[in-house]
Amino acid sequence: MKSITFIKRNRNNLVCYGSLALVIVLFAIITKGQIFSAYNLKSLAGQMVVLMIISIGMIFMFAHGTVDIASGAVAGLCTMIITLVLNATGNVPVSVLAAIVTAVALYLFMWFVTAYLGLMSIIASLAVMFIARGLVTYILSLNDGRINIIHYDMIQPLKSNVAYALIAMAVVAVIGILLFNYTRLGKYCKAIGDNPISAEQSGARLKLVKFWCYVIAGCCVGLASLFLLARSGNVGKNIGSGTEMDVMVAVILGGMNLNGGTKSRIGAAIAGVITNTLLSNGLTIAGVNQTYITLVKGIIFIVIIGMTLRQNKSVAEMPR
Amino acid sequence: MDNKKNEVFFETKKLTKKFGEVVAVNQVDMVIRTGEIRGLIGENGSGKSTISSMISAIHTVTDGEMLLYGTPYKPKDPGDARAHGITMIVQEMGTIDGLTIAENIFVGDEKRFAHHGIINRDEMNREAEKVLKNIGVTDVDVRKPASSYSLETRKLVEVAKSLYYDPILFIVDETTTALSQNGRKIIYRIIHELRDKGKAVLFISHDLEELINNCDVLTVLRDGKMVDTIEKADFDENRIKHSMVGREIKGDYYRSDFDGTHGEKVMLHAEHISNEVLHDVSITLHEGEILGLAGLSGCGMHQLGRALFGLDKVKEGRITAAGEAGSEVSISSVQDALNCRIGYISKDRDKEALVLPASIKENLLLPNLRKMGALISPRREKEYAQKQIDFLAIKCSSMNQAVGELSGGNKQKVSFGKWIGNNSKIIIMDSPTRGVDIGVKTTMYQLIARMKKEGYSILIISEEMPELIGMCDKILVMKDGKVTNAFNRDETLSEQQIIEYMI
Ligand SMILES: Nc1ncnc2c1ncn2[C@@H]1O[C@H](COP(=O)(O)OP(=O)(O)OP(=O)(O)O)[C@@H](O)[C@H]1O
Ligand SMILES: [Mg+2]
Repeated sequence: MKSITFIKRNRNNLVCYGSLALVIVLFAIITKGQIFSAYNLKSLAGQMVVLMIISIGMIFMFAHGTVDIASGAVAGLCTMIITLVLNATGNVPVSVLAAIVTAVALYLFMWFVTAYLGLMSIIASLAVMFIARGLVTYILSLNDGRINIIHYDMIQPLKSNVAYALIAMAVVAVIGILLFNYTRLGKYCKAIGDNPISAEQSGARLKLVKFWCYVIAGCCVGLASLFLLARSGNVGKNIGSGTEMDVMVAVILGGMNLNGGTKSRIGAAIAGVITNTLLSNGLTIAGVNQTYITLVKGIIFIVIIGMTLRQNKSVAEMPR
Repeated sequence: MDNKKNEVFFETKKLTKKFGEVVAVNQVDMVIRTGEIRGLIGENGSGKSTISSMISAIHTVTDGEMLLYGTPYKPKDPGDARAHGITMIVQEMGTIDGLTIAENIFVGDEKRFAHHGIINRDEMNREAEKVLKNIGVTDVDVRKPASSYSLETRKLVEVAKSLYYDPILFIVDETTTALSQNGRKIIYRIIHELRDKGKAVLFISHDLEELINNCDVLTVLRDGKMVDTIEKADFDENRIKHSMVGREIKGDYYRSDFDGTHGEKVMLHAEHISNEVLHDVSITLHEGEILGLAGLSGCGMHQLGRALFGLDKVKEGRITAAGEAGSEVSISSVQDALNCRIGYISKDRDKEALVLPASIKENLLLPNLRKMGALISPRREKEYAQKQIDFLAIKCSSMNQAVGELSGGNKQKVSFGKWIGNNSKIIIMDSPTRGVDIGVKTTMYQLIARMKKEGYSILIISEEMPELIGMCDKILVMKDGKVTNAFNRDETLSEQQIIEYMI
């Protein structure tokens, strides 16, 4: 009896670390340990850095009840900003700053539209997605469909030296964990996701809390775009596209409930991204065709959604 | 069969309910007879709601059985229970926000208005109006969504809905605390009518006076077990209390002093405020004063509380509070109110006061986060939560349990605990003891009295006359959005005197 309640209480944790452990063991066997070779571990870190940074930022959005689908497009636009600024100035920090400012500006636009004009957040993010994609396509069309980085050597180390990726992930994760679990912002954020009325009566300023969530999300997307650019080497039409879906798959694999609220955990982003990347990487090493990988991920996605939905129902043995 | 009285028609045999390892109801044998009003009492979390929810098929039965007219009764869902003649008014919200009042009344039973698969709305609305009129409610637009009505009106809608199905067993779980005096009259009238028609009523309440006045038999629960059955002849307040708690309740219930004096400093002041509900209301709350607001439904006292906390806007007039440095700060938003250290306990605990999926700890801490510093230490959080849980005797399996899993009274304790010791100096309490058992009510009253001595200013908005008379330095009576009279603390003050000015 005790163990059943334990499972019920910790279902999110079980999904999170259970799937991570499962993936690790499974691929250790399937790939005969290859997946954990030093070389592959390095390439894993490189593969997950973009998704990791964005997902950590997105947890703040999901937790307070916003589903954002613009992250991929905004990241794409940011890679272009970095390229243009870097080509003009030759200064990496300045160009990254420009990217972060751009991303934050776009996210704050979304915030403004939802907070003050009362539009649904998903519609606002859809609009921003089109704006960002449109800008990328338009600027590319002015440049024959492709922009090359003149100073690629300046950011190339971000790809070749995995230490940068590891440090970036660690720093973002630590800041994310602190903000989400140990500050007012994170706690208000979760309360708003469940019951904005009560949160407001208890002192949370809804607009202000959301403002900071959007700022955090913007910063993460801006920073991640640097790694995205370093890995791709140039700005193409589809750069960053689909990232928003990968984020959702990853955080759900990590046991996150996309409705947000008190059960949201920052660990869902961290563990989820690792699981997600191991999954793709492991299947690739095991020789599975790329198209099937998407299929496998889709199936896992549905299974996990099914499990979390059932959980919501069982809790609802309520209105007494 | 219906008109026979005093015949056993419903029985439970070793009825048991477990939630995980928590045994909420433990082997209860209870019989209910036709033509009786059966009171069900017990401390918060003793299993009253759980038993009634099993009878009306909201909860599944873990063990044991129920018999209806001697045959096993195993309802599949609330609709099935209704078909057997058993309906229930739940303790928490039983209406659905998005639906209109009419849709709420006929939810699950829309088929009766269907003609060739299309629901005739006019017919449904007309029928809904009739159903409401039957219980004496006429000022409700059945086309409006339920969310646009107050807790009280929604409760009355539920009552009307339950009666529509002509129940033989009508269960009323803690409904009276959500109602004002006139709403209560309606319920009392209804249950007596049902009894006289040979139907049975299962009536749950923490108000001993109400129980003694209305019930024929009382069943006492303690920790999920049935511990006593008391016949009308043996009704006695002390006897009931004793069997409920298992020990003597010592000390004063309300404040024992009749000293209505308080500090001179004005802490909260409303000058001639008006909005849709309020008309030219002025009130002043001083340091160390307990001020009470009394009135019937629609009198505007709950809205006044909301306005004072900055939740409802005022069109005319001004609300000011004493700021930090002796300055006067005008209140026009919740943030203003919180900055002036005003706290607010909402009456609607499920929708406004609590974050139901969040834990007890998280809920208790929410209004406290402002003063916990930049980085919040988990140890301090735990200490604070444990202090409140112990003080208010919140019955829970751990401080990490979701508030939504608690019994009604225990939820109320969390809602109360949120604002106690959170450094608010002015606390607006809307029905602070709603659904709380006598033992903990005593604790709350003693705490409020102590807070007065320590210089806190408290505004109690309540439908409970004895509570206001017992606690307040001054009681303001409201009617139709205006303050119509004021009574100072006085030993001789009676309920009747106040009620005269309410109607
Ligand atoms: N869904 C649930 N999950 C876990 N525990 C529950 C659940 N519902 C009720 N309980 C527990 O069962 C016990 C009995 O609760 P119940 O609601 O029946 O009390 P009650 O007598 O109605 O109290 P109150 O006077 O406060 O309304 C409580 O300890 C409560 O915490
Ligand atoms: Mg109850």
